[in-house]
Amino acid sequence: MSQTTETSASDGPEVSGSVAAAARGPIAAEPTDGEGSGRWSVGHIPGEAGIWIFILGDMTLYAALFGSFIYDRSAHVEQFNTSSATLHTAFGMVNTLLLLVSSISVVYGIRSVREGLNPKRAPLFFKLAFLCALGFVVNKFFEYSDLLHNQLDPTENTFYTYYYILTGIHLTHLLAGMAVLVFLWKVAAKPKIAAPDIRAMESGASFWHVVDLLWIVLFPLLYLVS
Amino acid sequence: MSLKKAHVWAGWTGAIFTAGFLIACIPPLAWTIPPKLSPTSSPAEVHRFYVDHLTQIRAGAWLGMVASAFYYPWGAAIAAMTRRIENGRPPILTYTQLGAVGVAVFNSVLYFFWMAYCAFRAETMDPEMLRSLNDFQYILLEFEVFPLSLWAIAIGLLILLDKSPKPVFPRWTAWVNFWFAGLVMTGQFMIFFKTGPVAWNGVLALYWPASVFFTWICIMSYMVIKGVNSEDGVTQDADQQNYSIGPADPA
Amino acid sequence: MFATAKTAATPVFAILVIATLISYSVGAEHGVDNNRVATVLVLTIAFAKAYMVGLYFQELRHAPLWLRTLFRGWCLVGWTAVVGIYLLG
Repeated sequence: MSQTTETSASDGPEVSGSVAAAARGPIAAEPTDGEGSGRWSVGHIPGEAGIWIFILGDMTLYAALFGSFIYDRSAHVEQFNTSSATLHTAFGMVNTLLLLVSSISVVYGIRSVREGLNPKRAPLFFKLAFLCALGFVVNKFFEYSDLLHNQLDPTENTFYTYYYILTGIHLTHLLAGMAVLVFLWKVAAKPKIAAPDIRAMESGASFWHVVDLLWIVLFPLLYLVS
Repeated sequence: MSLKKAHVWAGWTGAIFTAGFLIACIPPLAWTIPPKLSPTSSPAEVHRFYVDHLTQIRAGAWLGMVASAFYYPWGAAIAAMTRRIENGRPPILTYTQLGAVGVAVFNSVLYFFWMAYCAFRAETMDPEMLRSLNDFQYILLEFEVFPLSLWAIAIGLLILLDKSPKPVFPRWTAWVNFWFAGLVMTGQFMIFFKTGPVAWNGVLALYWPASVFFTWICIMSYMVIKGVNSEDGVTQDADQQNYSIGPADPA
Repeated sequence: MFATAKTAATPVFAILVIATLISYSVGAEHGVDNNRVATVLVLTIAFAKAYMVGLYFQELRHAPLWLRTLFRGWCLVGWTAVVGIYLLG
């Protein structure tokens, strides 16, 4: 923990520096630092250090959930296989692709602002990401209603409990992430973007990528394991 | 004892609460974590468990009641310390925390009241009734989630909004609060299930929320101790050194 | 537009899309006969993809070693736990 605070305290120049300095961040920060701190803490933390406590803590929950899912599966292999087969894999795959597209647009959006490549186009990238997220929600709505139409609700069996809990928690992350995307797009549309804005944008983008990252593991775990 | 020392002790109460609460609940005392019973236990099994462990359960309830007392100085300490961030403005988020402390302490206290009540006359109680009393004990333990989350969000928000050159709590602790607020939420779905990971003896209803909750308590407990210790000038003007009077930011 | 896309994240994105399609065909169409092999393959691809999202999209490859180590640890522990429990169970 103290490592975290030290790092965030020691990269002061970047916070107070100009946008251009922050823009050079990832590249400039890499090899230069020769004094004291060593390899361990040299580099550019995307966003503020604290957000990584949140992100990694969040991912820990998911790691525990993955483990517990696959553990309970070994006790009910038959049930998990037949239940998993009722899911429509196409929904899951389309959602994976939607999130991948949204993630790459967020990467481009951040790059066009931070690297000063094409700041005017940045809000567009975030809007595109938002649209993909909206597509995900619509897709999920049809998927849930299809399952519920067939009387497959969370209390049906252990598999469906996991299915709804895992996708439900993921969906709340995604909805929070959509609010983050709106924030990114608002910041990107500001006429003058300062270094703290860049930092805040990186924090938001890092969170959005977690939504993608977790779905990438969730999709095969729920739909494809047999 | 100096005032500062008393405040350091107020910080320690979080750790004391955690230790007391957990010792009260784990074997050999009340045995509610890990639960010996499950939502699918028959009334006879529940009755038998209570009759066989009467003294332990009563001792657990007693210890838990003692531990619960240490919950409120912890909550009050955080509220009081973050109060400085709202200096010069109405302390809305601080009062939100105080309200939350009240609800949370009451929940903890009621949990141990209920445990004591279940064990008080268990031998002659109708097993069917005892089972439903026991279910309620777990609802008390696991169902109160969102009121805690909102409390943590209030704390986290204040920490993020702290613009002082010498902040009350380090900025990353805000994210610990948000982490807790978001991830403790798996527990509340326990009312829908009787088997599986979200049933009251499951990973998502009991173990995960409990770990997140006590990690949060202990980190913030440590932060209060650290914060009190770093507050060297225990003078009447301490507030004014870091936070000016009146609305600080013109923006 | 082209300058914006001139980053390692672009080919990574292409790889991720292809990997998704491969996983889909392996998992859903049973391109591989043996279910156990297919599942281990699909799960391994999944964690590798997650790792790439972290490194290239979240830009962790430029991050300090402590942060990269934590993230790598998550991927490694997650993958070991899931595949291990699957094979043992």
